[in-house]
Order: sequence, then C-alpha cells, then structure tokens
Amino acid sequence: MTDGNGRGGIGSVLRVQAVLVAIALVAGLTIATVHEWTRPMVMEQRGGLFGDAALEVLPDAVNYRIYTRGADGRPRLLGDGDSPELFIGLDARGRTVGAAIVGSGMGYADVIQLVFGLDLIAGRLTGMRVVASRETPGLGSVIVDDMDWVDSFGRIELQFDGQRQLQPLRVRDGARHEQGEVDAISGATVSVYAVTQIINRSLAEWLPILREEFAELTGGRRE
Amino acid sequence: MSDSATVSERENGLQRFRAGLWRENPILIQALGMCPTLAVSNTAINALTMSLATASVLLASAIVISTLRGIIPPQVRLACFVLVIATFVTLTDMLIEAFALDLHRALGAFLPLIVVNCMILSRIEIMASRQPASVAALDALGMGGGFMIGLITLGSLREVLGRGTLLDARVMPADFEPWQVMQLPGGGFFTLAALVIGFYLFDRRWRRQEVGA
Amino acid sequence: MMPASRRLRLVAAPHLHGGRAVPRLMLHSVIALLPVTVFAVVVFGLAALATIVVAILACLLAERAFAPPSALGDGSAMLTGLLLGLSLPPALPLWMVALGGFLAIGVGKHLFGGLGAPVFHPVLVGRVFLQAAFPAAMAQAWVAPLTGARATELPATSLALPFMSPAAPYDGLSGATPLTAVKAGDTGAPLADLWLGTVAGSVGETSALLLLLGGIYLVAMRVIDWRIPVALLATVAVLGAALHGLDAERHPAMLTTLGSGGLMLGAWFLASDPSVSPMTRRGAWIYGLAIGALVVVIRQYSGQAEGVMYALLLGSALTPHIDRWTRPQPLPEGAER
Repeated sequence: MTDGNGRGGIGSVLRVQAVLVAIALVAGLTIATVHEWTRPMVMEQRGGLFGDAALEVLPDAVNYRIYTRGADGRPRLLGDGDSPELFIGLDARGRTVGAAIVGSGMGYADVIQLVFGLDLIAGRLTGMRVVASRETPGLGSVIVDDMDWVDSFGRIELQFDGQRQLQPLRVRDGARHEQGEVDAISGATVSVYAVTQIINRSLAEWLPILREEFAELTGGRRE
Repeated sequence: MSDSATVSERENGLQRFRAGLWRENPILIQALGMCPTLAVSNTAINALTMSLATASVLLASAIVISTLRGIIPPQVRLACFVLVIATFVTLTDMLIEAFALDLHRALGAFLPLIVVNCMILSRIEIMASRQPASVAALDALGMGGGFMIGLITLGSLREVLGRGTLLDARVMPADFEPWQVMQLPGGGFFTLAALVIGFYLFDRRWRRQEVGA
Repeated sequence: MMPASRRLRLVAAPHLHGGRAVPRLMLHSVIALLPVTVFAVVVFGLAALATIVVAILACLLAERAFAPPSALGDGSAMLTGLLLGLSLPPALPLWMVALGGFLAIGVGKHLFGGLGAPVFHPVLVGRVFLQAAFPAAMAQAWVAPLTGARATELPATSLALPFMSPAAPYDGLSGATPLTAVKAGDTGAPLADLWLGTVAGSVGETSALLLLLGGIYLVAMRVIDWRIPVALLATVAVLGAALHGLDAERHPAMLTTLGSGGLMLGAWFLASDPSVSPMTRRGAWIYGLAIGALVVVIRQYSGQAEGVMYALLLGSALTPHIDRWTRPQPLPEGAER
C-alpha cells in the first residue's frame, strides 16, 4: 500500500484530512451514543455496589443511612446526584452498629475505590471490600479476590497512642492483625500498600468527624 | 465479479479461516498478543471473556476496514486503523462494564489494552486492508477463533491446577493442593511453554500421518 | 616449561585434561555432604530421611526418563537429589519433594541441555518451583529438632496423598525458623544451637559447622573454587556486621546472619557448581560478592525471611555476563607474562 504516483497537491491533502475527520466523527458519535446508553446502567450498579459492600463490611447491619459531605466538610444525608461517602449501618431494630467509609486512591494501574467498616466502640475494623479497581489480574487483583486477605481486615484492631491519636495501619509479612498490621502479599506490594494508604487517609479524615457528629458510634446516645 | 473469482474468494476465505484456527494459531504459532495471554488467562472465565472481546473487536474492525479500504488514504492508513480499532475497543469496554460488571472488574486494565494487541493490527494490515470483506471476515473469525482456543486452553489449565476449579465449578477433590504459581504470571509462562511443546509434538505426528496416508 | 604445578586452575581455554572425571567430583561432593546428612537424620529423624530418599529417587527416575541409561552412572543426578532433599523443609509432603526432584532434573537440567549446560542450578529450579507453587507448605513444614518421636514417626504432613493437601495441619508450634523469628522482631536462636544445627530449618541447612567442614573438604580436594564461597560469605559478614552496627534493633548480629538459613549450604555446595558459576578467578570474586550482597539485601529489606535461593538464582543469571566482562585478553606476541 504505497502512494504509487505521488500525486501531491492541495486536493489530495484535503481528501486525506476529510477521510480522517469523517472516520473520527463517526467513531466519536458512536462512542458518545453507547456511552449515554450504558452510563445509567453502570452508575446504578456502582451506587448499589457501594451499598452492597457496606452491608458486607458491617456484619451486624441490615440497613444503612447514606451520607455525603457538603461544601463545609460536614456530613449530610445523600441527595440527588451526590456520591455516597459514608454509610451508617443499622441493625434490624434501627440501632446504629457501625460506620462504613468509602475511600479511594491511586493503585498500581488506576484508582481503587473501596469501602471499609468501622466499629468505634471496639476500636477495630469490621471488614473491607474493593468496589472498583483495575489492578493487574493475577497480581494486584488479589486485593479483590484473595478472600483470606480481604477477610483479614475484619480482624484488624486500631492502635491509639496515649493522646487518643490514631496510629496508621502498617503493612507487614506475617502481620499481627490485633496490632494494626496488614498482611503483605508478594506480587501485589503496590496494591496492598495502596489499599492500606487509602484506609489510613480516610480514617485520619473521618475519625474526628465521626466522633463529633455521630456520638452513637462511640457508645454515647445522641437521640 | 466473475464466477471463478467468487469461488476462489470463498476458498481463499475458508483457507484463511482454517489457518487461523490451527497452522497459524496466533498464540501457539505466531506468539502474538502475549500480554493478555499471560496476564488474564488465570481463570477460564477471564480467558473466555478476554478472548471473546478480542475476537469481536478483530471481526468488527476487519469488516469495517475492508469495506473502507477503497477510501482510506495510504498515507494515514495506520491512523485510520487505530481509530477504528480503538472505537470498537471502547464500545466493548463500555458494554461489558454495563452488562457484566464483575467480569469488567476482573479484566481491569486489559480490556482497553486490546487496542494495542498486535494480532489485531497485523490482521488488519495484512488481510483486511487488501481483501474483500468476506475474506477479511473469515480470516478474522479464524484468527479470533484460534486466539480463543489458545487462551481458553491456557485459562482452563491454570484454573484447574491453580484453584482446583473450572469455570468456578470444583473439578478437583476437595483437599487438592492448589499450585499457587499457576495463578501468577510465572505459571502463565510455564503453561504456555508446555502448550507450545505439546502443540508442536501433536502437529508433527499429525502431519506425519497425513503424509503416510 | 617446567611441569605445571599440580593445582587445578579453573581458567578459560585452552585446557589439558587433568584426569578428573565427573564421577569423582560427584563422589567428593557426596562425601562432603555425608556428615550433614547423618546429622540431619539424627536431629529430624525419619522426616529428614524420607525427604532425602524420596528426593534422590525422584531425581534418579527423572534422569532415567530424560537421559540415556549410562548417564545414571556419573552420580550427578544422585547429588542433585541429595542437595534438593537437604534444602527442603523436613515435614513437606513427600509428593511435593518428588515433584520438585522430577522438575529439577527434567526442567532444570535436561531442558537446558543436560549435565554442565544448565544456566540455573537444577536444585534451585526444583526448589523455586515448590516455593512458588506451594508457598504455604514451604513456609510451615518445619519440624522441631530432637523431638522424642522422631525415630519412629513421620510427620502426618509428609504422608499427604499425591496432589492433595495434608489432612492434618502443619505442626504450628515448631513453626518459626531462626530467620522467621528474626524477621518477626524476635532475637532468634542462641548462637550455639544455630551453629551446631539444633534448630528448626530445612533438612540439611541447619548445621553451619558441619557444612563449613564439608566445604573445606571440597576446597582441599580442589573440587570447588574457594574464591566463590569466601567472597560470598565475606560479603555477607561485612554487610551483616555493618547493618548490625548501624541499627542493632532491626538487624541480627553478624554471627547469626552467617549461621542461619541456607547460607552455608548455598555458599559451599550450590553457588560453586561449575556450570552456573563464572570461569575466571576475577569472575569468581565478582560472582560471590554479588550473591552475598543480594542475600543481605533480600533478607533485611524484603518481605522474605530467607533470600539465599533467590540470590543464587540471580547470581547465576549474571554468570554469562561476568564471564564476558572478565574474559582474559590474549597476550600480544612477544609480551611477557
């Protein structure tokens, strides 16, 4: 496929441009149409996914209230078009049983979105689920499908120093979960650190807010 | 177009179809598209989805490019090819995300990466941009089919040895000790090498019998 | 020229045949390993004996399958089996031992072209496969030293059916080897136990003293190039001492580092294998130094407790390059040595 006779000229250049633009236009239109069609379905599953994950990481919860954060940084109940950031888990009698926090951050391949459950009275995590990630299948993807590792988050106890300051979780081979340690996985170092960092950051961000705004989480009754 | 031309076109197409499935199998013989081959063949279902997506993109792109081959200017043909392929990859990505979110999460970054699968670009450049749509489509079906055969075999072996299951159904005894390495990329390399050796031995014996018959 | 000294020098071509044949080299190696082997059976009992025997049988079987029958006579497959058996945890299911032996010879040796050709030591190929395929078993199949029942009972895990997980869990109590204990922040074993070998560990890696003796025997018999183990161990000793000096909390003492894990076995018996180590003297120094540094780096700065196996494999990968860098230059005509 060579440009045999080498006709130059403005006409041929224009033709090349026109074909390229035409193909690009058709391609763009097709993609936009399918995007419009599939987006609601994807978002619906995603929204539901966070809720499903919240119930999974809060073993005692059967229902939840969904919160997002307003411009002032304070949590408010989820409205139309908001994205969920905090689930307050409720048991069958409507009592608060814990909080599930939505966190996200950069993984190895793309942004990881996850939900983790928190029991502030016992001072420990109750579980973690990765909701969206593009980690390398077979390597980083263990953060999704290595259930032993995923379930180990339900045993992690938060560490506080003398001043009630939260100590960040650490990654360690042969981790002691009751001392705030996350198991390392060879082949998934970056992904495991990413998950740990996301949880640490979200905890640092949310813990003061939770203590201030949701006294029932720490044992005190608000209502 | 004359009758004889049509007949030879069909024969040519069928020949291309068979070649893709076996003698020029993209994974076992040409060793093309190794990135998804090794990365997402850890389970049969991942391998199936990935190879089906790749084969669909290949088929659709081959038909479109073969149809457009008269108007695509040679100077920008690669840009046009990539544009068409990328469009179909994006569509596939969005459709899988909408209808099979779990699979989409399992395949992760490798779905968008179909766009740089060299098997697709090579078939477009070698066949689709020079052949009528029917031949190009049969060639794409053969190559896509060959890709699926290779990838699914690989994925099944790795899932059975690495997890003791096939398509998530238990096939090994309950206390089978899974070979962890089969779920890692290293296991992909081992299994692929073993498959290529097996394919070579089998093919050689087959040809010898053909000659003998 | 006077008759050359009787020292065997491993140098690049041209060579004269020194009358040394493969079977003799193998015999010396087996003799050097005998004390360790006997000691292992005494300390770990039937478990060690079964592991060694199964590893040797698997290697001989694979050698018979992949090579002409005459190859069995050179003893190299038997040595591979013995070394593999010595490098595995004693309570490992025996079918895994057999699989490792078969792969060591089949893949590690004959796929690369047979005796003398392998790029990586066949023993390490077999072991690294087991490590990658069955990490849980390889990390837990330890046996406490000198238990009362060792002479009469095999650990339940050894007898797992082929390709099945052992019905009983691994003996968790005896789990920690000195190195995993160090990794977990404990002090590890007392130095005397560590060097004598009365600690948990792979079948034949625990007794640093006996391995050292065997190594010295090999050097005295001129089977191996002394530069490789000396360079390797010296590097580990210097780096280990330096790290311990910098931060005694995090890094174990130098003698602990030297006496623990598979270091002695690897340095004297695996690193020095002529088919995976460089040919020149300068190369041997570089090779030993590189492996030693890798051992320390992997042990101290990775999630792994033990790094000797990976360090040896990476070192072997360097060998062809080292050989090229250190290739002797032909002397110009008339030049004096």
